[in-house]
Amino acid sequence: MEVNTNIYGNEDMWITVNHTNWGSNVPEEEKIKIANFTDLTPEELGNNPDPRKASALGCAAYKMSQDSSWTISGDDGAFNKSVSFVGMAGNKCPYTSIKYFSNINNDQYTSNYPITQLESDTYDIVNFAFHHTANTLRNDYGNNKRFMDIYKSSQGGGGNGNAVKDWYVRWNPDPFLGNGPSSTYPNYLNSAVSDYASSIRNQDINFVTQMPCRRVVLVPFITCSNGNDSSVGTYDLDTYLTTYKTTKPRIISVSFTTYIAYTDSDAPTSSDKRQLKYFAMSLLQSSNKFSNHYITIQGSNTRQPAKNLFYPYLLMSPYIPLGGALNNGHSTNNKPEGLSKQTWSSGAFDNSTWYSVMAVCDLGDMGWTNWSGDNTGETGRGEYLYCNADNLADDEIRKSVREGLACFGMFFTDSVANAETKQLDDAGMFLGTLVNGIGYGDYTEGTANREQPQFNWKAMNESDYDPSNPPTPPQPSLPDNWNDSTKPHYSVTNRILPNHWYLCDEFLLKEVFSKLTDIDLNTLDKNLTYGLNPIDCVIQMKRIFFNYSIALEQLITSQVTDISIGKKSINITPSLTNGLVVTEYNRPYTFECITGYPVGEPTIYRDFRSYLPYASCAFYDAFCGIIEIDPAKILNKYITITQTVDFLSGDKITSLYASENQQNRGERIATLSGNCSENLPINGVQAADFIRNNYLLMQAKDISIWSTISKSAMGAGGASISGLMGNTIGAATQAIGTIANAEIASINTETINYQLQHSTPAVSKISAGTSNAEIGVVSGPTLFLYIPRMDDNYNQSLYGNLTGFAGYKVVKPKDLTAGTHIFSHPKVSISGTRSETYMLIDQLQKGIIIK
Amino acid sequence: MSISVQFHKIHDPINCVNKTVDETTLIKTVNGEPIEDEDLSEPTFLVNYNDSLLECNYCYVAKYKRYYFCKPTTENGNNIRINCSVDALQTFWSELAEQDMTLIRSTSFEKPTYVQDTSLPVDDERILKGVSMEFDSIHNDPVVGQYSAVGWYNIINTV
Repeated sequence: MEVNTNIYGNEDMWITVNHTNWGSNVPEEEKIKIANFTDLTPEELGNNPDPRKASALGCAAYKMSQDSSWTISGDDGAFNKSVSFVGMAGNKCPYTSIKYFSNINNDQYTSNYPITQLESDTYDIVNFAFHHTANTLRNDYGNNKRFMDIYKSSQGGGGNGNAVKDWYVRWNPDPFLGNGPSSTYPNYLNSAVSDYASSIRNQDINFVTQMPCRRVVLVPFITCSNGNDSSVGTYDLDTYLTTYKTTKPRIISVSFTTYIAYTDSDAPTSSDKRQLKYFAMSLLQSSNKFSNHYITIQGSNTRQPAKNLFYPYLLMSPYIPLGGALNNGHSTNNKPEGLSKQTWSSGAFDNSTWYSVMAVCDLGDMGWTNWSGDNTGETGRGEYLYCNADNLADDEIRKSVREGLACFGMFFTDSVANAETKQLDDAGMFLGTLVNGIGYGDYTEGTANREQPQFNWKAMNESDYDPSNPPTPPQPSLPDNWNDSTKPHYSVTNRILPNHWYLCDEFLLKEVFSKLTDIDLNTLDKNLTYGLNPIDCVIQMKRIFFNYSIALEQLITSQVTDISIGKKSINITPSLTNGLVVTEYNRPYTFECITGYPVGEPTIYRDFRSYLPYASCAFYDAFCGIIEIDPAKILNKYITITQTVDFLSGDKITSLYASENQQNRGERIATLSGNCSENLPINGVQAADFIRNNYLLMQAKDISIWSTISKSAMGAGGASISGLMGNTIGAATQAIGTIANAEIASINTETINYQLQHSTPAVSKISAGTSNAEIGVVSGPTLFLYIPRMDDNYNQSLYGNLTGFAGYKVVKPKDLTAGTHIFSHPKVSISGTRSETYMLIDQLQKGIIIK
Repeated sequence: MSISVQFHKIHDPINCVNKTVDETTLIKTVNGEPIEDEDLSEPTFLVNYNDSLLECNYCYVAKYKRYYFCKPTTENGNNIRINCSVDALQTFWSELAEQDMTLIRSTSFEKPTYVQDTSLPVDDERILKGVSMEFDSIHNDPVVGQYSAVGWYNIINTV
């Protein structure tokens, strides 16, 4: 990592945090240092200076003022991500997914609206900064009182806020800008703390620019309450799990704080002195959801947009939120504040009504899904979110917290006692694992910590992570069952008992067949069976290709019964452990799935390449086929897929919906239908049919529908998938034949032969059972997105400079930046001759260069 | 009637609007004699022979208030004939800069936009991404199960 010295000052200008509890022999390169935004050296600022002197000018407001502009843009802004010595990624990192809750309607202000999730943000990589202050942050800000509030209301107010249009991220308290001192420092600096402290509160955001790796240990804490909120407390993880989990199961938040590591003999030993109390953290991520960031100006009646402002959640010291609400204003010994309606009556927010929005992170298995209090409306707006520990085992909580903390790539432990007494390579001391500078939640313990490079780093500055150009995080690992082909289930329909049918796995079916063919004439009771042959009691048997055996078991567990053929039980005891599920109900089941984030992140280009004809999209479900979809209909939307399956007939209907939010399914985009079953033969005629059909189907073995799809879809850029829709019957039937081949090997001794129901299957049918690796992946309903790959030599910056990007905008040429610019049919009015005018037009159309 | 002409040797492309034309590029300021009728767009000047002027490629004529691209040729031992062609872009840029125009291709767009760009070097091959649905947890409603999306995967990078 390389700190941007243009923003944070040169290394030799950084101010050493002269923590009174450091040991006396801590080397300079192993101390915590913070940025110095001034031109004054640490010596000039004074011995052990109040860090606010160094950062009073470093707030966003100063940068805005310095640039004579209201715009803070990207890396040039005050919140520069070059101080992020580690990137965090993956689903174990809580900050990669932030959900926003409020008790208002997403589109329009409505009173008494239940608390609901409005939006969410997801990030591939999260950057962050640690902050340090000389004193405890003021008790009226930080996340105690929402340093960064998110509100939703009508733009510009007008009185009633009835037209909710925009999100607002407000600095709270307001950053100082203007109306202050004469702005010439050092006089300004000298007076800043005392005279203008009430307005220049951003000076407390002191960026840590040097973080000593071996000197700091993170310790997780749990803030929790009992059922009636009468007792709220905060305990380290070990203490909570051993003492309070039972009596205080409502986990309001998981947080962490920093301790001096037990590595130095001079370091103090008491916890009071070991804790680095004045630490805070901010996330250096732009929100994808807040199109307008407004900054209110102290003493001014205007507010100004700050474009591309990083998303500076200041997570309050000493308990930095790791899970739960980031800005719920929680306290360590009082129940937190709920969502609220607020009214501003001064400044730029003239009497508008604003509704606060709560930003929430889940942490591994720990989900903040429960609301205390009544959450039905404004008056009973709910109080706080909590995670119910009763539903989690101790190990689940421990694992979730550890993995979340491990993303920092730093040392951490479960208890204050460990931090105070244990060496960094002792059991119970953990070290987050970094892969190319990114933490994914993995960690080592004890002596294994020594194997990690951080163990020997003096400071995290030695990390090779480059936040301005982070490595691409790998895709999340596939689920364990990802490569499974569709697991067949078997339905057996009873002739005697109405609506009795049984769904079982292949092993139980073998048992059933054994019973049916193992006729004991001595014990046969005509009164109890339908005829002489028990198999006559079976109306039909089908093999159902349905992948979600776990789902099915959960769905109909309560209906597990013994299997009867006719009126006679055949003494097969159903067992869920081997996958048997038996039901007496005859009804289709509907399954629903919704993506937890808008589709396309981060796959899409966010330009024309993400749309037809450059990109194309297809929706597939096994046995139903594949259908082409306009990418514009699904990109950036939440996708819901419903699948209705009738296990008696095998009929299946799969629908795809796209919505702007997660609250409803939205527009139906496509519907596929098919049949995911095949009949099993229960008499000789059917078996003969099966043999003949199967032989014919084998003829088409060389053709693979999937490889056809792959090659065609991957062909020339812009090619349409629609050409694939008319695939050959032979190819489709071959796929089903392959399934049969595979399955015969497993159960042919009992079932002998099958008859394929689909001797002439629909053209669109393809299977999930082929041997192709790719088709093995396609076991559930799947959306495919084909996006163009850029030429290897494509350099976006070079292309932009030499060729320019296509676009459409009416501009004044004086406003253009350096580069190449081409205009369309310019109307030119100059004092020159007509021929000069034509020359000019010609030149503008061919392109001009601005140096 | 001779006219004062500043002769320069510039290094900027023809279609550059803010060419560097100053003392660093100046070769010489001389009086030139316009030949034929005065043509503001394509004047021709005769100047006294000077080796350095043979290197000029640009000039500014204060009287005409115009910049010109120029091409010197030796007329005879005493004179150089310099053919000029007006650089309308440089000359009228200050007037042009204030006028609204429709930009259709520009560096200032910073990245590809939603407007199609057929020049962008898109490879023939395409990347296939997929999001597949896996059953994850059960819904309270006994007849409705819920899946969870397991994310985007590179199924095939290239074929």
